[in-house]
Amino acid sequence: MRVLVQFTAEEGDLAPIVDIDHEFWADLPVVFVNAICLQAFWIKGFDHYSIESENGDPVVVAWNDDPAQWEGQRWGQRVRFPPLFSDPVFGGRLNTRIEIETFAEGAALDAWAAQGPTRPFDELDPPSGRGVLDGLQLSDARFYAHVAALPHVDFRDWA
Amino acid sequence: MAKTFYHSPTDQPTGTHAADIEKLADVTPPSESTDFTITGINTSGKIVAAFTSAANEPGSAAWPTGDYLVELDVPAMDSSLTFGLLTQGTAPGHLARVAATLNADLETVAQAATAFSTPGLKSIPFSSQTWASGSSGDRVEALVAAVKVFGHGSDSITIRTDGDGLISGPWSGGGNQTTGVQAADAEVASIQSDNVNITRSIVFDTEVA
Repeated sequence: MRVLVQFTAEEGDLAPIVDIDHEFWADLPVVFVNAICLQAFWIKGFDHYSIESENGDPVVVAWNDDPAQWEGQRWGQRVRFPPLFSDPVFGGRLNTRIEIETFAEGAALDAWAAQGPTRPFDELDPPSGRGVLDGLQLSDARFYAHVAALPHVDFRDWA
Repeated sequence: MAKTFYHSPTDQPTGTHAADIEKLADVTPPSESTDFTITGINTSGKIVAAFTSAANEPGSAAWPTGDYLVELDVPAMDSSLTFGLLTQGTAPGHLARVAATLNADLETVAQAATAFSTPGLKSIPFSSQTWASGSSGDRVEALVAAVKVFGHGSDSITIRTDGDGLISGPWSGGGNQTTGVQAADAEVASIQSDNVNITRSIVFDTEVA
């Protein structure tokens, strides 16, 4: 499945968005990542990102655990992206069926649990090794300069 | 019988709420789709969209008890957000009967399900919904709220006005009457097959702090 990847440019010009198949995620150079996108679901600003395959579907794990910012309130998401499907509820038009699990602790757990089921952060069991790329803390101005450069997308682009 | 109001790109300012986009819920589906990207959604929440019917629509003093439906087309969003027709942070979201002058909610009902957290087409049923009696000039409103659940800064969501975004209910008389949402879907499918699905992207509210 297509993955849009925005690398982090700490200064100077922003890098162009990279469009890869998720199977090649582990082949990316070891550089900082600012955002990734599958099915128009932008996962950005995390400390760590990984993508693995589960029965052919990409599974993204992104999490925040930098003690300088997230001490006692680490949180992350595990997101599985099955292919778009013809949704009978909408007359057969294409729809997503993204499966998202959120893991959190402390204040982050309180906030996420108020919105829906949330598991303890310690159950996330984040991956390690070659398939993990890190994010980089940026100033707000620099971060939003990156955000402003993200392309307009539609989940139907993943058909 | 039912009446369906489609989320349109036509402005319909409302004094009831301050939403980033305030649009008409029209009796005919738009002939092209338009995307509105709403930014600046932080942990306080934000009313991202209000869709309100035109004057004298749905044209009923006694809204029937029955099944009402709101559908949303969300082409894209950030993963730290949730949204829906329910309060998000301090921002209200709901299906409402509003005064003809668009200066007051007369009656509101929030979605029963938890907030949405992914992009896509979203169906929000209001089953066996009852309403107090009112005036034939009362209008219907779908108010969409979103919140960045945790962390600093702000995030964004895109809402599309097209035939997949709608409000439907068992009203009768005037306007666009159908035998239900299936009929509305057939109408939309017909339009889409005519290749008039031209998307324009409009970015609102570039404030991101």
